[in-house]
Amino acid sequence: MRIMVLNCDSFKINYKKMGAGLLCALLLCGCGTEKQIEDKLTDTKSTTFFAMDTVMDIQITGDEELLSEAEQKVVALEKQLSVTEKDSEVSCINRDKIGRLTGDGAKIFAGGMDICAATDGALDLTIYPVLKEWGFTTGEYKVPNDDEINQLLEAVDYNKVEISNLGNDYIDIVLPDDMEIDLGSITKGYTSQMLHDFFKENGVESALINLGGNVQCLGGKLTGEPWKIAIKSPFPDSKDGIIGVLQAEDLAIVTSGGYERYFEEDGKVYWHILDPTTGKPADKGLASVTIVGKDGLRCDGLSTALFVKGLDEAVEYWKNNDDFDMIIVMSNGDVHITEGIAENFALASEYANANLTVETR
Amino acid sequence: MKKNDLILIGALLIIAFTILGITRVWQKNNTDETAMVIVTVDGQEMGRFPLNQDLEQRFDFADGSYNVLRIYDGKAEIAEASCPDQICVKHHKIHYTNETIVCLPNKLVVEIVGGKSNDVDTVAN
Repeated sequence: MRIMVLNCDSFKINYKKMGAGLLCALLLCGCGTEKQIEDKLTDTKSTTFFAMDTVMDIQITGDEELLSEAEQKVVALEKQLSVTEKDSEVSCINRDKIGRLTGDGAKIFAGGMDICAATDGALDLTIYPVLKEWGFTTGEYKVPNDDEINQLLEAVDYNKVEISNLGNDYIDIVLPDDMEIDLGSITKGYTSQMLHDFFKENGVESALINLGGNVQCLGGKLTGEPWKIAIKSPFPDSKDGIIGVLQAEDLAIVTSGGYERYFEEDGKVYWHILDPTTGKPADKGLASVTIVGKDGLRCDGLSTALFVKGLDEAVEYWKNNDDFDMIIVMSNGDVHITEGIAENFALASEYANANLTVETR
Repeated sequence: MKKNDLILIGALLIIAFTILGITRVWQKNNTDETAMVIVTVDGQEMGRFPLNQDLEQRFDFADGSYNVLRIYDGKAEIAEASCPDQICVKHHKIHYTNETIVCLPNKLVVEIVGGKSNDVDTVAN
């Protein structure tokens, strides 16, 4: 329409003006894609960095300074809690069998222990020695024999972690001999929650946090639409790698599945989510579990715990707890989704024919 | 305004919109061809390659580890890698914009930029 304004003021149209008009038309056509315009309007900043043995992607609408602060927070938390960091609080406790977790570390430990108890040990913060034996912590995989596993399992029981002293900002714990703890199963969830809160306190209205596949979003997109969060397909032969897309605002979305880390030996597949009662890969016919809820840590812990529990117990647990929803993909390709998010989820086109069951309370 | 002026204005409008239309179609058809595969190691760009040209490129690291990027048939994948977990090698081939393959042990990221969009903001996995 602006082209008309450029041209219709003149009755004596000459070729120069026509040329100018056409030139303007061309320029207008070429002035960039909608995305570029949108980016300028929304002032979106993003960062990608490696931490906690994974890759982290954070985008916010707001001050770039907040992103570097966020990165520093993540790095500090990793230093404090990583099992592979020699002098971390967790490493000291694992070495000395006694020690103190402070600040965020204490909160993560307490939150993790709550989930251990709530899921009857389907999540167990003390499974670490068995995980190491399988090589899942290093990538140097091997199948341990049953004797080795049973020996290690004797020191796996979150109930035997003794809390000797509890302060406002710290927890002192004592471990039995041979026991080791690892907060890795909930640390990313806690971290995404921490960043979410940090951004919110600083006036950010829209943020998308992806910590190695643990997603947490603050608000929706600035356009007013919800975020579109793809859930990864657990099947290696997937064409586009996505089982479906969930529309979400102000939620944490955490997926666990055997597909994330596995190896094959003698034609059998072994994955990294171990059943704390057997010390072997949890195998209840599930390919992946996605937990959707308000609390990042809880979503993270439950995604592992309910993968271990299997479909029936997971649904049972969901019926008794109203603070989350879930999407369960079975090894045979069936998909189960809870009613709270069923309307916000759509299967990807390559899985359009999958059996989709909506679980209700 | 004379009748001829109106015809001329009309004709100009038609020409302008035709050009607009052609340019849009041209842009749409060509976005996929301008899709690039960008390889970074710990945030440092190591190379960028058009997604529409078949290629095998090896990235070697000081400690002897390596990743081999293969672009074939408009899709990018890690064909081979020295890392013990082989997660990057098992990753599906990527071709949508913003899709990534990550090799954590080598801190290598393969990312598609400027290709077709799969209309998702991020992937939970």
